[in-house]
Amino acid sequence: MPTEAQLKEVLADLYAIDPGLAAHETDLRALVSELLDARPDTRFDERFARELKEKLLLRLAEHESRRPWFAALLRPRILAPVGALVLLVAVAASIQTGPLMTSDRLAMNGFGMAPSLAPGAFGSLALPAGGLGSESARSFRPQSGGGGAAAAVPAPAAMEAAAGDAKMIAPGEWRPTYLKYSYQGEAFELPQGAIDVFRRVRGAGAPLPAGLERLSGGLIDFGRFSGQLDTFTINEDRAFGYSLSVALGEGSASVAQNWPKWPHPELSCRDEACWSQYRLRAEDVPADADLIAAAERFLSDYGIDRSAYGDPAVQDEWRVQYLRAEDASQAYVPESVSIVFPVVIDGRPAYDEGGNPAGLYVTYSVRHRRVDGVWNLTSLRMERSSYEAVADTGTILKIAERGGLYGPSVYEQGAEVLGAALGTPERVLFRTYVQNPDGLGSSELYVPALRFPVVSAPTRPDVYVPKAIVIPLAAELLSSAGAPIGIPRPMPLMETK
Amino acid sequence: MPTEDFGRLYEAHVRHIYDYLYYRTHHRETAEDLTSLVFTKALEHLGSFDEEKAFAPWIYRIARNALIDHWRTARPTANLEDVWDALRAGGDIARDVDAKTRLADVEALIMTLPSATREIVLLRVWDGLSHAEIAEIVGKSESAVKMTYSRAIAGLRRRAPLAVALLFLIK
Repeated sequence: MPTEAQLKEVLADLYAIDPGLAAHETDLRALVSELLDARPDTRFDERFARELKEKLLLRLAEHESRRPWFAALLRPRILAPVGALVLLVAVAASIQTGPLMTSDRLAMNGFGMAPSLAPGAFGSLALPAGGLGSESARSFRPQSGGGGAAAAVPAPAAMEAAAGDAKMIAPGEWRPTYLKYSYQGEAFELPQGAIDVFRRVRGAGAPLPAGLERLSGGLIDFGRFSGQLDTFTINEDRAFGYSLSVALGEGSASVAQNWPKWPHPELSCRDEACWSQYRLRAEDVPADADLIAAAERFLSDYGIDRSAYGDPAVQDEWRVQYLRAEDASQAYVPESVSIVFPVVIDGRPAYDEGGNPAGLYVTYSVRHRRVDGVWNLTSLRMERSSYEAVADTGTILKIAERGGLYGPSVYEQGAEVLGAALGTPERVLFRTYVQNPDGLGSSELYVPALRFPVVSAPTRPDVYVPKAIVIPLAAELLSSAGAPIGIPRPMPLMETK
Repeated sequence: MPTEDFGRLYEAHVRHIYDYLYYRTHHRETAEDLTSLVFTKALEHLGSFDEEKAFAPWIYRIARNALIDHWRTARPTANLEDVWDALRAGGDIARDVDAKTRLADVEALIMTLPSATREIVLLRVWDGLSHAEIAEIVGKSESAVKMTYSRAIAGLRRRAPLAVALLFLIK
């Protein structure tokens, strides 16, 4: 049935056109109500809309890739702060060798359909020995042009104790504290059979621009080298200038402060009185809406395509510890706050192993009140390959109980174990890295997963509580997550006064 | 037009265009096929779109033309512009069962309206477009659209006051 507000709106519109109709309100109400009620349910399919959008944007990108690659750079707002160097390279490249990044411009646009490869094409998904937090796992993550802001694998909860609190832990008092989760949500289903795992397709180098040898300045003969251009950096020579780093082979770019061009008065401090005047306070951090607006404005101004990303969110974990601190004046307030735009693939947002959104990060300098960085801007061309899905909800819940893939399956003797609760999961993607089958390099994968929100947990200031636990649905990943991770111990610390 | 702008316009209008096409075909697969066609055509003709003007009337006009082409292809000998014309012409039309059931009570009423009038009424009541937008889509003046709309509603009221009022009271 239509609402009274809907009826009133239609009737008011009619009476505005023909006031005489008001005399027949009873009949008109019946008629309009019937018309509104009869409107068919169109059963709009979001998946259809997503797939159509991918196809359309791919076609648009193919069309745009025929334009010179530096066309975006020639928009006035971007050209003004960019140094002469890039313009020289661009002109030289386009004249002598054609567009610098034809196929990579397509890749860098961040969209495209994911062609299907043979099942298991990405090799084994098994976790490395020691789990995700191990050295061997960390070595899989590429050092791209972007620094990234992925969360570190959390250690036992007590290790996150009171960031910024000046009181340190004396030796002998520390014992590991763990969270054990119980599931309190509704029954959920698992996908049957196989699931599609996505792999990000990296970029490729570009032909060396002709005329590059003119830039050597007599240091070394650039012209003696053949090969491809891979990484380069552009530094803006102006106040609050940026440093743009590009890794063509990786298919990534990042923006950071061009450090010497940003003021850092606090670095000249030598005593507490000086540091105090530059100490940031929580009220210095803008509201989330303002942070998001600033991030969106920056992305728009610099031509960064957002179509592959979902709704942004401010990462405010620092605020949890700030609110729990005994002395707020001494509590940690970050220099920069991150706004994350989660990557969305096949309609699902992606999360990292820490349960945090994974995607594009924009950092906002609280001190200088402007955007000071963009991280993890990567090409998002994907391939897909099917893998066996876990079939048993009990397996999922067992791993969720211990806090995810990296949670311990045994607790150290004497450890404190606290209870927390998980709510009904949603379907998402889990970002992970695996070694390539040929042993050369690694691949960035997105695996269908379940995200369990943490709905209740201890509020002790020394206990870190994640917002959610993310469990991938690939059977091989889960079966390799059995081994507990080594439990780190803190170095002995002296109490400060 | 930059890619991200087209992406945003797509997100803002795909649901409306799909609904518009569904209301006039009553068949999900057909509506989806036509929606794909509409946005593909929009992409091909982006060069002719004046970015100073509103996107909605432009994309709706493309949708309207696609709809007319669809029905004329389906029934080349009959002058059809939407599913209502097709129903009036008789014969077997693929329609979703849900749509048929939901429209059972008012179908006869809607079919009494001429095509052009029906289009204006449904654009206003079902698609929720403003008179100005409707005028741009159908190629008439805004005052002509308003007059057509109010007269159509008045006519419907006269044609079926009792039956509709009873249904309203029962529900």
